[in-house]
Amino acid sequence: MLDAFLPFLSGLGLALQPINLVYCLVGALVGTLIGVLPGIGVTATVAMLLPVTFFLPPLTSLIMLAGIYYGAQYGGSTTAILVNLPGESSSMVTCLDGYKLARQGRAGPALAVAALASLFAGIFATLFIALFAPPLADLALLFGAAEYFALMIVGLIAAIVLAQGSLLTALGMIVFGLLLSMVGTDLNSGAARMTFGIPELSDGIGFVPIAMGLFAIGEIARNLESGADRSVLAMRIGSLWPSQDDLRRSTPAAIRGTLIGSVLGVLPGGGALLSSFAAYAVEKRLAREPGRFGEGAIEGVAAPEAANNAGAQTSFIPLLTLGIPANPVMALMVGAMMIQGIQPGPEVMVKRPDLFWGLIASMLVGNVMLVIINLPLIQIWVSLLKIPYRLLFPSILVFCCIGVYTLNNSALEVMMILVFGVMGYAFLKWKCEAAPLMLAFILGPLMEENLRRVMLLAKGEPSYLLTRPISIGLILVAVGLVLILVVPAFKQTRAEAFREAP
Amino acid sequence: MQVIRIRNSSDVLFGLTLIGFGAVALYLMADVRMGTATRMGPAYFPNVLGWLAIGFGVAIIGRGVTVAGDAAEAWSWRALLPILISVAVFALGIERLGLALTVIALTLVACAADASTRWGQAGLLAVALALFSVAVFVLGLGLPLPLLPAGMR
Repeated sequence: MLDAFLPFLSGLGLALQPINLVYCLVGALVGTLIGVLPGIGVTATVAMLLPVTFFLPPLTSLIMLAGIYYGAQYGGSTTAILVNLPGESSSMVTCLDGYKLARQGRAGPALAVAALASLFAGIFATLFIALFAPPLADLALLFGAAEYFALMIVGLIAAIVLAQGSLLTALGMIVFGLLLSMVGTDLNSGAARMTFGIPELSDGIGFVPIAMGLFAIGEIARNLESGADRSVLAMRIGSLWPSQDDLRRSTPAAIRGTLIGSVLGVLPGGGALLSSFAAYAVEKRLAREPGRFGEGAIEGVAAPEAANNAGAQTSFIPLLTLGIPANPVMALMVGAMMIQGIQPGPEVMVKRPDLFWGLIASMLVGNVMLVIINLPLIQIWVSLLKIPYRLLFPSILVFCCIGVYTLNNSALEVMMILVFGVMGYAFLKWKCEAAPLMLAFILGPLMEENLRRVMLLAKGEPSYLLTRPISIGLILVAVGLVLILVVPAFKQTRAEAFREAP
Repeated sequence: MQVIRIRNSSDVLFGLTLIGFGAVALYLMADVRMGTATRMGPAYFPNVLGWLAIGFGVAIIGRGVTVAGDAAEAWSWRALLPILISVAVFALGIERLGLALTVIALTLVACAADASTRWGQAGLLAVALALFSVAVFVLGLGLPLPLLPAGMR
């Protein structure tokens, strides 16, 4: 048992190196900032900061980017509680009870419970990853092309089953994303595919302009037209200390939220968003007086905030062990690793244990930093909320453009933001979730490569996929997931899990 | 014969987009080697995807004319267009005008997207963002961005 934690301790040593501490803090600060500010999401921010990671060592850049993701879960609760707006989409359910508590003059305890529940969840999720990632990576080392292809299918299908919206639309988005990923030179034959003869496109479409177009531009236009200029109530936060009663109620809720988040985070399509919705739904169902929920129940803050932080962290497990991203943020992490010349997958743990354990251990450090950043310094973040959106959105545009341009010094890539910005806006208008497209875009080349290998081994017989036990299992899971969606009872549960949004 | 009625314009529009992209992909891949299932050529997987896109597009349109849903929301070009133009300004300007002027131009164009913009404030923001970008990205991080207009370097 103790042996299992030796590599973790050496990772902790790396995470505590000054440069890694500094960038862990930078990630935590940026994460809190964008978490607090509504209208800037994690995906767009990570995309914006990718060019900066060129200049950092691999471990340092991963630590920073990871800090942004889980840091945003801390910041998101602040806005949810004080302004009744989700700073991050994963804080949507926190608005329900958090804002009520603030209206009752109990903003301080609500903020404190949110931060402490997140801290507990963060520490637990770190140990969860340390325990479960290595065996999963060992298993993944046995995978051949057939297993990988099946795994990617399961990943994509699960990602849409566990997400919001229509299955058919999401399948369409997956095919769309896969098609876009085919643009560029075919690695096997050197043939140009769908490049329109544009030389810059021979390397394929960059994932950074796609992420920015889909997740930043459309969002900005939407925020502007809804005229969401939020006004922060001149609210006194008061004492941060939760009462005995608060602690008694929120401790079990935080523990349940942590467990739910840790498990749901691992699943493809999981992560912070799904975890927080599920945790809230469970608390409401278990409560002796469900009527208190929505009227300022402290459990309604503790559970989803613990869950979204745990889920954000454990969603690194499929990335680190299988090389398969669970959500768009993880898809960008794949990109960040490839920029550094690292192919994500089970080999990372064997070949680069420093990277693997250093990143995991940094989460422990980051979570402690985040509590300090969020609780004593809360007034600073509240004052940032007063920045009007009309000053914010031009700044986001400037950073997006500079970020994309510096990636390859290519003005054409900046133009790509424009193309995908129109798409992102259209998808918002048509209620098509963009996340499956992004996942499919990242997985596309891998899927093609593995499909080619499978078919070569199988001599063109697709039934080969059904001759290997692991791939049979995975394909059965994929079929099961689709069937489940057709079952009315599950359909209803799924709709219910996402219904709580205000 | 009954006239087909659109019951969910979001579905119909997305379906048409999918069909369009699928068709373009099939057209562009027409001259590229297909190969066989055993030895897939460069066009094999894209062709499969192209047909899948068309298939899903048809299915989604089918749903759009049978199952009622929300109509697609109207587009607000007032907000979208200035944002798109501002990005284009950056793409076209960065190599010719240099970073400082381009950022100022981008900011001013983008500010037109917001009805509540105060132009004095927008001007200050533009200058502040230009100074910040030059200080952080060029002087601080040392990114290779052109600073001055092409004629003045």
